[in-house]
Amino acid sequence: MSEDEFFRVFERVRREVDRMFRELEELVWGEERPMFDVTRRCLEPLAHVREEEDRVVVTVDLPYVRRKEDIDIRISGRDLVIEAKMRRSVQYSTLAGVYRDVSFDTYRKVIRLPEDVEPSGATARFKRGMLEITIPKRVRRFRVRVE
Amino acid sequence: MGEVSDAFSIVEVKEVSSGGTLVAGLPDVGLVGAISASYLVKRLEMQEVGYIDSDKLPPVLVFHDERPTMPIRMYERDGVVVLISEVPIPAALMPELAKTVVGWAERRGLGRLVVLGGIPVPNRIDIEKPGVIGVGVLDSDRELLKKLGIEVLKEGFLAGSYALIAKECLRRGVPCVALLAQSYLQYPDPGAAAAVLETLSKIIDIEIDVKPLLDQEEEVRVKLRELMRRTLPVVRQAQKGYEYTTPLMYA
Repeated sequence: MSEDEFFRVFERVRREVDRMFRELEELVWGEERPMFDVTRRCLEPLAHVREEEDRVVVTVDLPYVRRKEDIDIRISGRDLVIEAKMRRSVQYSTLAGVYRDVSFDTYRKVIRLPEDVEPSGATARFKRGMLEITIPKRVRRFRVRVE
Repeated sequence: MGEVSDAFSIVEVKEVSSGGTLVAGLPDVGLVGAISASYLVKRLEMQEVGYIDSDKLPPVLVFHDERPTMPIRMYERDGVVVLISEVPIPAALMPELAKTVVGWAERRGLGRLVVLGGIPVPNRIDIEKPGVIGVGVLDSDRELLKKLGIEVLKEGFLAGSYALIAKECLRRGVPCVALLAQSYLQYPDPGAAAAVLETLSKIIDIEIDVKPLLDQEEEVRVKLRELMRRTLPVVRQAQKGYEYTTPLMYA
C-alpha cells in the first residue's frame, strides 16, 4: 500500500467514525444535543430534508451569511456537508456556561442523505439567508409495458 | 388572586383590567406567535401581571435581566393583555391549557382573544412579504375582520394549539380571532411575525413599529434555533398536516 493510498483509507475510516459518532450523539441527546462546536467556533444551523420522488431537497437557515461565495457545499457518498462564513460573529455574552465569551463565525452541518444521490446534478440557490439544495436521486429507471 | 385547574394554575401578581383583549403567542409553526407576542411586550413596554404554572411543564425557570421569571407569563398595557410562553407546550397539556386560559379570560371579562401564529407554506423562500389570514370564531369576529380588510378563512382546517383555543372559545361563545401569517414551518420566521403584528395593530388599534424586529431578523433567527428545534416535536404532534387537508364538500 502506497503512502497516498494509506492516507486515503485513513481519511475514509476517520469520516466513517465521525459519522457513527454523530448518529450516536443524535440518538442519545436528541433535542438536548448542543447546536454549537466551541472548538471549531461554529454553530449548527437548522436544516430540513424533504424527500421527493426523484430528488432530495435540503433547506438550511443561514442568517448572517451574505454571499453565496461564503457557502461551501460538499457531497461525499450520502454525506452532505455545508459550511458557511457569517459576515459578523455571534456572541452569547449574557448566557452562562460554555457559550460565554466564545464568538461563533461559521456554520457547519453534516446531513446524512436518505438515499444515494447523483452529486453532479445537484443545484443550489441562496435567498434571504435561506439555502436550498436540490440533489437528484440515483435511480435506475425501467419502463413496464402494460399488456 | 388566581385560578386553578387540574393541570394549571394562573397567578395574577397585578390586577388585570376587564374589557380588554387577550393576545396569545405560543411556540408553534415558525415560532411566529412566540416572536410576535414577545416583541409586542418589549416594544410596548408592558408590565408583567401574572403567570401560569404547572408541574407538568418542563422543569425550567427563565432569567431575564438577572430576575427569575416563569416560562408562561402575562403582561398588560392599555387593556391589552399578552400571554407568552418561552417553552413549547406539550400537545397532551394543550387542551387543559386552552380551557384554563379561555375560562380565565371569560371570568376576567376580557372582550376578545386574539391568537397569533403561522400557517406553513412550502414556497415561503419566494415570498417577500407574507400574507395574513384571519380566522373568526363568532359572527362578530368575522365581521370585525372583514371591516378591517383582513382576509377571512373560508374553508379549511385549523390545527394545533390555536385550534384548541378557538374550539374552547366556540364552545363558550367567547369572541376569538386567530391571525395566521404565511411562514416557514421549521425555521424561526420574524418576517411572518412582523406581518402578523401589522395586522394585529388594526384589531387592538395600537400602532406597532415592526422595523426594529425586521432589522434584528437575523439575530432572532440565530438565537431561537434551539427553541425552534424543541418546538418541532410539539408541532408534529399537533397534526399540522390537517391544514393542507380539504374538509368535506357538502357539510
